[in-house]
Amino acid sequence: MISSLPFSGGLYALSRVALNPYLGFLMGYFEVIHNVLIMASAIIPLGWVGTETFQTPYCFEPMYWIGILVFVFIINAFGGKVFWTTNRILGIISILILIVYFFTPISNSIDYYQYTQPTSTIITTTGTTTIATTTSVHRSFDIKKMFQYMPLGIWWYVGIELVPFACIDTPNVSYCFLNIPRSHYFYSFFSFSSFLCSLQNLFQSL
Amino acid sequence: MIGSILTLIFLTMFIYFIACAQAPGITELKGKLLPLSYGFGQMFHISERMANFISIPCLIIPIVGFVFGGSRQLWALSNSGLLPSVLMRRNQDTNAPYAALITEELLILLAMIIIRYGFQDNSMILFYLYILASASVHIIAFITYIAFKNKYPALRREFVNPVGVYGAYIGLFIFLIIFVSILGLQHTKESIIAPISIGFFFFFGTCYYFGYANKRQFYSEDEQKAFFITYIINGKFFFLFLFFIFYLFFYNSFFTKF
Repeated sequence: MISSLPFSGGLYALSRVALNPYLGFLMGYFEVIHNVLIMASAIIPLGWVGTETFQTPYCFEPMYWIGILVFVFIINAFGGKVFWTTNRILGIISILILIVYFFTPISNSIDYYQYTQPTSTIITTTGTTTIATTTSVHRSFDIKKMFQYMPLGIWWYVGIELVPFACIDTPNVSYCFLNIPRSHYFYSFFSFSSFLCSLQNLFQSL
Repeated sequence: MIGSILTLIFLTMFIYFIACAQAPGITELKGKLLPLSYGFGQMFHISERMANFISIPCLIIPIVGFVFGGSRQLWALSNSGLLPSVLMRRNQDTNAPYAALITEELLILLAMIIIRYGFQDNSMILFYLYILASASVHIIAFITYIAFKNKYPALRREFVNPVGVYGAYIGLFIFLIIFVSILGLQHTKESIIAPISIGFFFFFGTCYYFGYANKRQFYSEDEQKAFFITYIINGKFFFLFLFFIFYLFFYNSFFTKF
C-alpha cells in the first residue's frame, strides 16, 4: 500500500480513504495509544535501572523519567540534522556495544545445552541452614501456554509502522517508499525463521 | 533500510545464541531487565550494577525513535482535522512538530504516573494494553489492504507483495488469535483490567469522534492525492475527480491570494 500511495501521514490515512473515516480515525487513535503505552513501558523500567545503579530512593524514579523525556525532547525539537546525527551516533554506539558482547565468551564459559535447559529452584530451610536445589524441568507441549506466550510475537512488528513518518525528511521519497516494503520482505523471513525455531521446539517436546 | 534490517537480523541472531549459552542460564536471564549486563561484568571485571551503564545508549535510542514517530502521528491526525489544530504547529526549518512533541511527552508522563502509582503489577497491564492496541491497529491495516486489493486491483505499485492478498489474510488471522488470546485465554487479574481499559478507550474515542472530530475533519493534501490516484485507476467517479481538481485549484488559489 505504501508503494502505491506514498504518504507521510501514517497508515490511518489509507484506512480513511479505503474503508471509511471512522475506522481510519480508530486506527490512528489506537496507534497513538499504542505509542504512548509502549513508551511508558520502556521508560518505567529505566527508572528502576537508575534507582538500582545509582542507589537512590524509590521516590526519585520520576526524576529519571523526566530526565530521559527532556533529553529526547531536545533532540526531537532540534529536528533535522541534529536529530539524525544524534540518532546515527547512538545507533553506531549501540551496534558497537552489541559487537563487543560477541567477545564475552572469551571470559565467560559457554555451553548452549547446559544453560538453555529450563530449571526450577526449590529452597528448603532446615533449622538455620537454607539449601537451594536446582532441578531441570522437562519441556512439554501445552496449548494453553502457547496461547499465553503468543502475544509476545507482536514484538517482531513493533515500530515498523512508524518508518514512513521519517520519509518527510528525505529528498527522494519514491526511493524511500520502494525500500521500506523490500526491507519488510527481508524482515518477514526473519519472523518466519523464528516461527520455524518454535515449531522445532514443539516437535522436540512431543 | 534493507542494510539496517539485515544488520538487525544478524545482530539479533548472534546475541540470542551468545546470551542464552552463557551463565546464569535462560531461567534467570528472562527475568532480568538488562540481560547483557552479566556478560559485560565478567568481561571487564566490574560489578553487574556498573555494567548497567554500558547498556544505556541501547535503551535510549528506541525512545528517541518512538517519540519522533508518535509526535508525527499526532501532527498527521491534526492535519486531517481529527485533533485540535494547535498540534499542527511546527518548525519551518527542521519540520519538527514541537506542539505535538510536547503533547506526546505529556501523555507519556501521565500514562507512566497512572500506571506506576495506580496499579500494583503494572508491567503486565501495560503489556496487555499495548498489545491489544497494536493488534487492533494491525487488524484494521490488513482489512484496509484487502479492501484496497478488491476495490482497486489495477493500482500501479512500485513494489508488489509476492504473497499477495493471502499474506494479508494470514496476518489478519494471526492478529485475531493474539487479540482473542488476550481477551479470553489469560486467566489473570491484569488480563481483565486490560480489555476493560481498551473498551473504555474505544468508547471514549467513539464519543470524541462523533461529538467533535466528525464535523471538523477534512482530507489533508496527502489524502486528497491518494483519492485522485484511486479514482483515476478505476475510471469511476470521474465527476468527483473533476470536482476535487476544481476544489483543489480554487482552494490553493484562494489561500495563496490572501
